[in-house]
Amino acid sequence: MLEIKDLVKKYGSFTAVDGLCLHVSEGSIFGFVGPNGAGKTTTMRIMAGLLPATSGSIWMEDVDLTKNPGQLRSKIGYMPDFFGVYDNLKVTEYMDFYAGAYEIPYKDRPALIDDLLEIVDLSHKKDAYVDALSRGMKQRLCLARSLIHDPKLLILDEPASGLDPRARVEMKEILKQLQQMGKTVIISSHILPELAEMCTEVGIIDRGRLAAQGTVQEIMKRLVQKRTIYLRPVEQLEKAAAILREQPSVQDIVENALDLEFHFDGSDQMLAGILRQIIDAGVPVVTFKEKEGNLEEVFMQVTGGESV
Amino acid sequence: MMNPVLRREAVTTMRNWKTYGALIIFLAITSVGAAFYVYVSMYQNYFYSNDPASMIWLYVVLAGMQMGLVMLATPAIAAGSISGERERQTLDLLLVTKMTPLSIVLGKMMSSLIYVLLLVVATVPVFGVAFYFGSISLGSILLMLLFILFMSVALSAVSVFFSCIFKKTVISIVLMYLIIGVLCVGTLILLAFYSLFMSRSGQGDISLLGGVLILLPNPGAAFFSMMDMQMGSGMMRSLLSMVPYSDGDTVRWMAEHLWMAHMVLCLVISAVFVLLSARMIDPIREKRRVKR
Repeated sequence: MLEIKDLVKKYGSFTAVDGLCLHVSEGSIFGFVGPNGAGKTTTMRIMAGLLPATSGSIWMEDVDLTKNPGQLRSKIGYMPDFFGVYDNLKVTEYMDFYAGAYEIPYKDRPALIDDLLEIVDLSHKKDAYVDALSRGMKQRLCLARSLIHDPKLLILDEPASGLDPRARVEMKEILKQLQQMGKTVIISSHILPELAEMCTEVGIIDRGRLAAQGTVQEIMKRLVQKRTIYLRPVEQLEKAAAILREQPSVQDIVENALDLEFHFDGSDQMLAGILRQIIDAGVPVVTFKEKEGNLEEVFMQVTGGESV
Repeated sequence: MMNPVLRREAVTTMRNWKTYGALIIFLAITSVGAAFYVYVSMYQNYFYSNDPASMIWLYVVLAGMQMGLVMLATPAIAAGSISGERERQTLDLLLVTKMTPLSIVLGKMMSSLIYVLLLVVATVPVFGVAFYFGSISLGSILLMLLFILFMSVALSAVSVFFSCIFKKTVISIVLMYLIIGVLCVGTLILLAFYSLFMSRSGQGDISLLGGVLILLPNPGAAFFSMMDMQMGSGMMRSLLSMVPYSDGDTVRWMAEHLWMAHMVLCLVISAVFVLLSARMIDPIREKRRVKR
């Protein structure tokens, strides 16, 4: 779908993007993660045609978009991290303005605008002034605007920033809906657990370079050496802990009032063996599961511990 | 298809109370100016009635006021066109659309001009007084309005260009007023220095070409030349008679029709600055520059 090859962006002697290579599959929701100043926004602005690349290319359906800005604008929808709206303009007029800017014929606009407002759940606000909308509504309106020319790829730069939890959930639902519509979405965010939930693929960028790419699970498997296991018995917690202490592959046992956690460094067969031992010892186990790793931890590891 | 920027600006401008405020101020200044002139000219008259000989100059006063107001209003309206989009953080959203930088700049410029045109057209009825009492022809009024429109086009083109360069609208506006001041007053001072230099250095009179080149960008001088032509006062001809006939017919023609040459200059300036503005906001300009 989208292939970025050796993308470089220099500002004088400072290199913001340093030979970035990236592949985004069709229909995926790609999470673009990195610390501040890693080059996420710069890369996204180059993809949107708002910045010229120093070198490198961006390919989409066999077209080098860096050399075809016209094609780029029709194939890509872009939503920046910060944007404003116009005063004294109603929601439908706002959408109509961008429809005009994307050369959509007058006759097609009313139905298209109604459909898009329906998708972002703003149909009830079609006659409201855009400057009077809440931040969450403005984000959704901007998303509808970026869809007006039916682009195949959507680039969303931190769409969840500054939103309250409810607005974030709504945004997440809309993104899922867009994926079902066949759109490919590239989304950057600092809300890492959220990205892990909604993204089919993640790319971690650090100092202008891609540090890791793959599904969240793949990255976890590759980078997280020790697995964290959660165990909750109905009773006899102490007995279970004693069995675990005898295991050489088990470390760092943390006993809580009702459950315990431990680090495990071994194969799945060994782990199944430990569970069998505990059950055979008569401990009634209700939960025994691998704790899902935290993308944030992986992120810290990959980017050398820089905070987000 | 109508330029989307122009369409949107038209809607938002007409919904803004400031538009009506500016219109009222514009009309009030012009009407009060006209009434004051009529009152003064009648007061000076022995029979306390209107004197056609003095009323014909009402037109000049009104036209002068009109031009002054347009010179003040155009930068105030146009100098925020691109920087305003930047301040509002809407420029990026505009640049990622299929609109070319040139069509964005033209849309911005046209919307500023339509605003100015609204102000000018609204004051046309005031000219009816001059038309009625001063027996000035409708053609003369229309020609004068066309001259003001040309000047406004050039001023708005330069204002839009500054608004592409500077992030803050206020800097563009101040700079535009400085430029207008230099063009109206600075060129006259320069001409005086030039004349002084020529006479002190013993070279005699100023050359006609030098004088024309200095005064050509001066909207005030061009306006004076137009009013002189319309009133038939012959002041321009007597001024020119003081300068030796040495620079050929074209220069002489330009000197006699300074207003016309100024209008051509306005068109050239407009075209140049519109293209420069489009280049300034083109996001992939840097790449093109590297290629060349």
